[in-house]
Order: sequence, then structure tokens, then C-alpha cells
Amino acid sequence: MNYEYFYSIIVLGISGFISLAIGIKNNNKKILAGFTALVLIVSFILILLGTKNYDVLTMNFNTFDDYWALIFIASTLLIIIPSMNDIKGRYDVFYALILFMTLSMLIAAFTYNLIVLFVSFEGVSVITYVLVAFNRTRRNLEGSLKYFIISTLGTSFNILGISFFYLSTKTFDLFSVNKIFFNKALLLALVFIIIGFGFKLAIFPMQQWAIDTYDGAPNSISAFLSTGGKVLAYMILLKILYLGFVHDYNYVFYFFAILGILTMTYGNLSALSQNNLKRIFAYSSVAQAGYMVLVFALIGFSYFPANVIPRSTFIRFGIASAMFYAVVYIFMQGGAYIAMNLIKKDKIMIEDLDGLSRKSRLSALSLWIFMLSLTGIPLTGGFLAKYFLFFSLIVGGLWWLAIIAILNSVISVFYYFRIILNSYVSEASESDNEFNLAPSVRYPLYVTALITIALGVSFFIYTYLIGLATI
Amino acid sequence: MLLLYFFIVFLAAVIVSFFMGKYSKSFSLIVLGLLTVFFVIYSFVKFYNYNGKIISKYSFLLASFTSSNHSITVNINFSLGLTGFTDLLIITALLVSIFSIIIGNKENGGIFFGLLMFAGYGLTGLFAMRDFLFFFIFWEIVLIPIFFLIARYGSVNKEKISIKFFIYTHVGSLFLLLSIFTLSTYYFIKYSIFTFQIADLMSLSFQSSIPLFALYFSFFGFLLAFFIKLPSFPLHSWLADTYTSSPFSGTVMLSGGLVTMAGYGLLGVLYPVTSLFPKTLVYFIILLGLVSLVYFGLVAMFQTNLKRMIAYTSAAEMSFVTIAFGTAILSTGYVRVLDLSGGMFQTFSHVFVASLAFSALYFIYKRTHTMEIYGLGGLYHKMPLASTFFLASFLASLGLPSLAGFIGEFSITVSSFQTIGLFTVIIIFGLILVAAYLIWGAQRSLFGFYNEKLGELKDLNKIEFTILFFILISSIFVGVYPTLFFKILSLYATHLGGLI
Repeated sequence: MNYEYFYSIIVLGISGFISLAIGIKNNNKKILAGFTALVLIVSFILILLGTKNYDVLTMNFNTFDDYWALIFIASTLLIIIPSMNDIKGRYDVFYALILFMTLSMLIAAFTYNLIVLFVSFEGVSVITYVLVAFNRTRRNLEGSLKYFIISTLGTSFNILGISFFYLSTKTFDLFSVNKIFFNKALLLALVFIIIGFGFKLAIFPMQQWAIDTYDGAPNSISAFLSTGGKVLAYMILLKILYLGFVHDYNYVFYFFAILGILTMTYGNLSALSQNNLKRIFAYSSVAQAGYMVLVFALIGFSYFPANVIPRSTFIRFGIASAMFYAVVYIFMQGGAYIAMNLIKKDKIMIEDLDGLSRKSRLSALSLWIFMLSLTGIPLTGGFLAKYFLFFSLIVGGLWWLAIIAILNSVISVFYYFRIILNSYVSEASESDNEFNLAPSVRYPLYVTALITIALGVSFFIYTYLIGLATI
Repeated sequence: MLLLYFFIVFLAAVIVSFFMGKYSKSFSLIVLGLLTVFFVIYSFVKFYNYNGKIISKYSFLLASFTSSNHSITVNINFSLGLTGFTDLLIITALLVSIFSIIIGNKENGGIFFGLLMFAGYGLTGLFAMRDFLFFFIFWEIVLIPIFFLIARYGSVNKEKISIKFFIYTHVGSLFLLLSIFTLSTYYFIKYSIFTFQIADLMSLSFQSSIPLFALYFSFFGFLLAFFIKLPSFPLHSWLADTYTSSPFSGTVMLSGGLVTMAGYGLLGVLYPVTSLFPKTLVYFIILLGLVSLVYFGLVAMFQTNLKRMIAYTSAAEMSFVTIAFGTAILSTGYVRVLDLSGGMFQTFSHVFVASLAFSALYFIYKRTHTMEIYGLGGLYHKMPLASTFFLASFLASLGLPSLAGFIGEFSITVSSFQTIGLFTVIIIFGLILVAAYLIWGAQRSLFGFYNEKLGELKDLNKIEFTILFFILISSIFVGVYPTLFFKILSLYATHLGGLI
């Protein structure tokens, strides 16, 4: 047996304990954060170096999984430095939890077995319950409790869904699904799995916990929950739907076309009337999940006859755009949340941004870049992500869905640009907002904004991803 | 060469925004002036023996994917190219940037001039791109600086109006995007290759082979985007508010820059496939043009604010482009060439007319602090020079021979008579309307008794005089010696009309 492929996972696990051991002596946040970042970068490099395409222990190492593993590491790496500002208490425990969580996510990225997927997903969930409540303020605890109760409900749906899936296909391994034994059970499994993972993805009827939890959690944890946690659930659903359900199974399309439309419309419309900044971002993340879910509708759909555009072609396009959207989404949405560290308040209203561009021009510019990217304006990552998403929808023949998505992205202009206006135009008005301009707040912002821009001008990534998008 | 140009302008705009401090205005003017001189020389060299096709092409494969077993090929190119039309538009875009920066207030700081430079940069980029991905990127990029200009430096209701402007134009852009995707998808179905090249997607042989639904869907997207920008009759409600609320530099950029984008889109991008338009659509487009001309004329007549009035005037002028576009589809032979080159000339000359009007109005507004017609009156007694320039801009708008507006309007009217016959009367009626309200407006604001409430007013100083004189001279140059431009345009139009 060859353990070369587990190096990154092993490194993360051992380092988690090392981090705890460092904590016995001293609780210096700089040392611990530096150590964690180093470990994450090392495991990033280890995944990049690993040999491709190898099956072992229900895990499958190929380039598709490597890509998602890299995304997950990036999403945790994003919050290491910002969390130094808004997390108080035992830093060794915090960073150890982050490392264990990354480990869980990597396992989820590499596996195609439903049981292992479920367990690793639960691992991430359990750790995030703790992380949300880490500061032990009233708001944290309230958010965490809501999250815990709803998420447990989701877990039970997941178990039910997986059991029904087993009932109808007689296997837990997604690669060996080749015959459906019991058709009605498969429909039940689909519904339950959508509900279960949909809770974490916060798609429409299951979204309300997310708004409260993202609002109540510390900023960097909100950043993680709305990016890494969501993308994890998204990837798991992508794997399950593509390998387990899609073959000759039209319900996937109907469910997700409806859910996608409802999710993005709900998210965008609710964000319009909000004044609480973190809630606006929460709704915007709901809306973004709505766009991403359209890919599921696409892979369950066939409009063109097979000899005109083969189904494999646009499914490949769809998966590639999902992969690209995920990475862009992590940086833009995560960036928007970690920008909230600039404001020295617990409950952040939109007026608290007044005068930001006067106090720190570059911080304001970074915030605008995230907003422009979430809106989908060229030269930012969000534009290319939306561009290729809509492109793959059209290639698959889903014109009406693309039009609805586009009208939604027009609605979203209202609230994203309101944020820009508040931090820019109100410059002249008299405001005495105090901003936290510590280097550990500003520099992660600049770096994230730079990455968002860089993703917006890297046209080759998408074409490269089309090559990867074969599960 | 072109590539280098784009790099330089981008760099300069960044420098102006953040590093130049109080010298930002003069620095940006120097850079833009040098670039304009350089570009004029460049185009003289390149267009000396112009053959009517796309010249100085440059293209490299930015990203590509090929898979043998799935037979997918995806190509993303970065390609540049110039035609006679786009070359002139790039020169005017540079000039418009200069005009808008030159009347900007120095105290606004570096970001103000940087934003104007970025808008100009987006315009020049749009005209030079030959790939739809980058065409769209630049099409959107132009909006952002204008949005910030209005939102930060605008007047009444600036925040609401900036968002309204952005959303209005954004809707059009996104439908344009869907059209591009549709075309690209069907291009793949026919040739098994995904590409966004304008020359490939906008070819008649390709578009005549795609299903009617997709074809009409793409036409709808293109026309919506271009008619919102133009603006044409039912899609114009962003126009007056945006023009009024934005600072004068932004208004010059809007009227001289953004509007030309639509003209370029209609005549430079969409025209090659218009022979596939259904006949009713063509008549509808002509009707839209005629209605816009008369409607904007009537609306302008009832405005009491001079800036709003000029805004509607500029829209009325641009409806000539719609008419030219519509009638050129129907006509044949030499008439078509005259029609097309008239439309192009109108797009191009409108820049000078609008810049002159708004700049002159700005200098008047700086002294009187009002743009209401009834608040002014008898300005000629106190400010003869400013009034003269303002009147000159009016005369240019109403198409006085030897000024920039005449050539385009004349050739469009003449050639459209060949296709729509007696309906040309409506165009003439529109022209009379324009003349009527402009002269009426001039009479009420410039002549008559002096409004004593305005107090003592000083006439233009030397710098302001030079600025206006420069714009007026370029406008007269375009009007008196149009052959220089018309020759290039008609060569391109001959090629476009399929007569070579």
C-alpha cells in the first residue's frame, strides 16, 4: 500500500496535535497562526506534488479531487490571519480545530464513498459549531445554538437519504452505481439528500439559520461558513448528483431549476431591504448559492439531441464553471466578510462604512473590488465566473434559466452598489466612524482583493478546468 | 503598436489616480495629448492606402483547450484590429477624454481625472477589440468610472441616479452577453469549435444557418443593448437624469463617449448580418428612429433646464444613426454606402457638437450658477464670447452647413429618401423642430433683456476661450473638410455593404 497520497492529510492531523502541544507552554497567537499557515501551505504543496489517479481505501486521488482539496485549503488559509483579530481565548485550540477541520474537508474531497463523505462532512459541522460559539458572547452562543439544532436536523435527513440510496442501488460507492433496483426509493433518496446538504448550502427553504448564524458568528468564522463550509456541501452534492443520480434521471433538473430560481430570487430580494451589513452578505451568499446550484440543473438536463451537442460536452462545461465559480466565490465572499473586521462593532450597520475611503483608501478599494466581483463586473473574478456559468447554461440550451439568473444579477446591483456608495460617496459627510486599521486586518484584505482581480484576468483557468472536469 | 498603446494608457490612468496629487490634471492632459498626436500620425500612415478592410490585425491565443476524444475545442483570443470607422472613433474618444478633463475642476483631485482617463481607456479598448469576450469586458468597464463620477461628484440625487444609470445600461449589456453566448454555441454546433471572434460569429454564412429562435434571440440582445446606450425612444428614461446629475466632465464623456459606443455597435458590429433581419423588424427600427427624432425634439422643446435640453438634443441627433442603420439595410448599391457612411459620420461628428455645447454651458454655469432658461436672459450683453460659442454649438446641432453636424444629417436625409420615400418628411419635420427649439432657447437665454438678478458677470478668460476655440475649430474642420474622414468611412462602408 502506498501512503504517498495521504501525506497532506497526515501532516494536517499531526500538526493539529502539535498546535495543541505548543499551547501548553504559551498561548501566543502570532506563533500559532504562523505555524498553522505554514502547515496549510505545506499540505497545499504536497497535494500539488502528489502523483495523480490512484485508488486506495475507498479514496480516489485524481486531478478533480486535488482541485477541490486545494480550494478547501485556500478557504481555511484565508481566515488564519483575520481570525487573529476577532477570536479571543485559547488560540491553540482554535488553530488545532482549524487544522482538524481542513483534514476532514480533504477526506471529503478525496472520497467517493457515501459513508466516508457523510462522516467527514459531520466532522466539519461539529467543529464549526464550536468555532461559531468560540468567543462565548451572547450573539455567538445564540447563532451557534440555532446552527446546531438546524444542522442536526440536516444530518438526520442525510442519513435517511443515504439509506434510501443504498436501498435502491445496493452500494455506497458512487463509482459502482450502475443499476437502479428500486426506483421510488431513489426519488426519496434524492429529496432527502437535497434537504440534508441543502441545509448546509442554505438553498431556499433551508436558508434562515444561515442568516442568523452568519450574523452572530465572529467575522472570520462567518467568512469560513459562507465559503468553505458551503463549497464543501456543494462539492459533495455535485459528486452525488453527477455519479449517483444523473444518468437517466430527470428529477435532478426539475428540483434544482426550481430551487435555484427560488434561492437566488429570495436572496437578492431580501438583501434589498436590509441595513445590517453582515446580514446583507448572508443574503448575498444565499443568492450566490442560487447561481451555483444552476449547474446541478444543467447536468440533469438535455436540450440538444445527442448528435448536435453531446451531453458530456455541456456537463463538462457546467462542472468546469462550477469549479471556477467555487474558487472565485471563496475569495470574493470571504473577502467581503473579513473586511467586516475593519469595523469595531458587534452589530455592523451599513452606515458604519461611512468615511472608509477617507481613512484608508486601499481598504475601501479592496471592499469595492469584492462588491464589484459579487455583482459580476469585468476584470474581477466574479465576472468570469458568471460569464462561464451563463455560457455553459446557454451551451446546454437553458436560455430561460440564464435570463432569470441575469435578471437576478441585475437586482443584486442595488445592494452591492449601495455598499460602495456608502463607503465612497459619504466621504464628504461628517462621520466619526472609527476603523480598525491594524496590519493584520488590512493586508489579508489586499491579498484577497489582488487574488480576486487575478482570477478575473486569468482566462486560461476555465479552459484548463474543462480538462479537469471529468470525475 | 496597439497593444503597447493599451498598456501605456492603463498605466497612465493608474498613475493619475493615485500618485500625481495636484499635478494630475496637467499630467493626464499631457499624456492624452501625446497619445492623440501619436495616434493621428499612426492612422495617417496606416490609412494612407486604405482598402476598406480590417487592418493592423493582431491576435494571440490567450487560452485554449482541445480534447481529442470529446472533440471539444475552446479558444479565447485577444485580438485587435482597426477599421476606418473605429480608427476615427478612437481618435474622437481620445479627444473627448481631453475635452472632459480640460473642463474638470482641479480641486477634485487625482481620482476624478483618473476615472475620466479610465472611461476613455475603456472606449478606445472597445473600438479596437475584435473578440467578443474583450468587447464585452470593455463595454462594461466604461460604465464603472462613469458610475463613480456621478456618484461622487454629481449634483442632485446623485446616488439614486448613479444606480439607475448603471442598472439601466447593465440590463442591456447582460442581454448582449446572452446573445454572444447563443451565437458561440451555434458556432460550435456547426464547426465544433468554441470561439468568441467577432469576425467568425458575425459572418453572414454562419448566421444564416442557425435556427430562427436563436437568431432572433441574438438580434434582440444586440439591439436592446445598443438602443439603450444610443438611447432610442422607449429606452431613454435614464438619459436626462444622468446627464443633468453628472458633473460636466462626466456629461461630456457620456454624450461624446458612451453614445458613440452604440453607434459603433449598430454600424460596426451588427451591420454585417442585418440582411437576415425580417422586414418588419427593419421597418420597426426605422420607425423607432423617426419617433425618437420627433419625440426627443418635442420633449426638448418643453425643457426649462438648458442641460436637459441639450441632452435631448444629443439624443435626437443620435436617432439619425438609427434611421441610417435601418434604411441602409433596405437600400442597395451606392445609396447604401452613402447611408452607412452618413451614419458613421454622424456618430463621429456628434462628439464635437455635444462637447462644444456642454463645455460652453459649463462656463456659463460657472458664472451664473443656474441652468434654467428663465433664470438666464440677455447673457450676450455681459458675456459675448461665451454666448457666441454657445450659439455656435446650437447651430452645429441644428446642422448648419460648414459645422460638424451638417454632413451626416444631410447624407442620411438624402439617402433615406431613396428607401423610405415620402416619410423623409418626418425627418425634415424633426430637423425643423430641432432648429425651432434651439433658436427659441438661445433667444430666451442669450438675447433679450439682461436679467439683473444675475449681477455682474465676467466673460471667458484666456484659458477658457482657448479651450472652446479649440473645440469649435475642430468642429469647423470636420464640417469644412469632411472629405478627409468621409473617404475613409465610405471605403469601409463599401466593404461593409458588400460592394467590393
